[in-house]
Amino acid sequence: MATAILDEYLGAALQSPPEGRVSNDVELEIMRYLESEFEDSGIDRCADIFALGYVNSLFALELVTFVERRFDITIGTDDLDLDNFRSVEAMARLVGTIRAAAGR
Amino acid sequence: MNALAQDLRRFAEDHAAAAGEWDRAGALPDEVVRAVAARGWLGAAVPDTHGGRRLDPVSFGELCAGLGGVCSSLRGLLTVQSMVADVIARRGEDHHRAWLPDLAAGRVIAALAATEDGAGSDLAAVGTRVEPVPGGLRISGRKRWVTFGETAGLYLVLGVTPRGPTAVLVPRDAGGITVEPVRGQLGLRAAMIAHVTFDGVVVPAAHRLGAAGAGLTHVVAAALDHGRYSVAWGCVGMARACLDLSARHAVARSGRLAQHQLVRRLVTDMVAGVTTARLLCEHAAGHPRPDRTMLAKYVAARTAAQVTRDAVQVLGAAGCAPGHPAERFFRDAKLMQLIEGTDEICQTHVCDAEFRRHATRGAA
Repeated sequence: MATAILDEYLGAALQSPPEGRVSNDVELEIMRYLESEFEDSGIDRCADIFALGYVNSLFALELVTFVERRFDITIGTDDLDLDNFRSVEAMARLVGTIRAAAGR
Repeated sequence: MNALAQDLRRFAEDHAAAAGEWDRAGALPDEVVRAVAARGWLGAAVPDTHGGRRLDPVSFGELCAGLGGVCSSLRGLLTVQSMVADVIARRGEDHHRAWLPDLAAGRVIAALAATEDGAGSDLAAVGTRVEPVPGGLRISGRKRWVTFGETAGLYLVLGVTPRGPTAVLVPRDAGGITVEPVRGQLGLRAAMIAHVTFDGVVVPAAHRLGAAGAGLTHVVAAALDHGRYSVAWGCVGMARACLDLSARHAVARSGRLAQHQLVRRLVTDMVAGVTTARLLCEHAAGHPRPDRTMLAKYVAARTAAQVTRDAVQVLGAAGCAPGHPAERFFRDAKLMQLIEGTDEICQTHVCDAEFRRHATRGAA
């Protein structure tokens, strides 16, 4: 029993924390959201999340809603492109572009 | 009781008794639309800076429930007006001044034209064409079952371009629009439902709200999400109204009906259903995620269908009488399981969200 608990502890420690797998704070926020959404702590920042399974148009809307609210930005019509939401990296890049354009 | 609740109670006292007549006549009287507009309710999704009185999610929900408890067609007016106004407020900056003040004041009624003969639940299959032409965009197609399509001055049209789906604002006076009113359908009989044909209607290119290819997934999906939230709360209102009618009937006449255990079971299940649906709507208000909205709408619509059916059972012959609210709510409730995403569409999406949490675990 004690061994099982230790294994579980070590297993958790061995899995790299999201901090080690992202390049900035925006990516970290998005990564944390997706990891709770998928109950998966091993998502790659460049992985195509639309290929992870059971993803539909409603989930795309959920991502838009999340990004707009969490980062307090408005995504323009032309940026409402599925490719901008395909990965952690793509969403973070979109946030950065919109923030830069708004001078923030 | 807060100010909104008081206003809603007064509104119900003034108008609820006439709702059966609206249903029979198949039309919502202009004076009722004006009464709703005068209270600022048609501007519930319009920012204050554009003449509206934007409500927080829970207050908006209470408004939908309050009007839903009077008449589902009237709640439908609030739903379509708010969903189009919300889309313009969020995605149509260039159109704020042209439309938002008029929508907020009720000078213009808005409608969502999405459904077609070959595209109901599967909106990705819409065939209405949106083509670039000199001077703008040309829209051609026939939309069906457009709520308030008969009186709308502005349509948000879901169409398709060679690059994918898109959403376009089309003013009624653009020319080339034919409206065929629908009458006598199962429910929502006062909702001014119409089939609307767009025969080569030309609008300026700036009327396109969705990037081609993103119209369905974002603009219309967001509008439908807003509508779903509104319908869910409306279902709570109609279920509550039927619970009240049933309980009042049971305790009347010396409470003879109230002593029957089987009647008590029906009423208990109504209380359970109404309370559950309301809690899910409040949950959706605090967690603005489309799958939570869908869950709330799914449960609330099923609850409305069951509670209205059981209300007719408890009320007996009285509830079947022409013009009785129970028989009207009973017919309207069935439509709640179809509009803004059928029960089956809701089941698919809610289940997808659940499976998503299990499918990738352990995968890199």
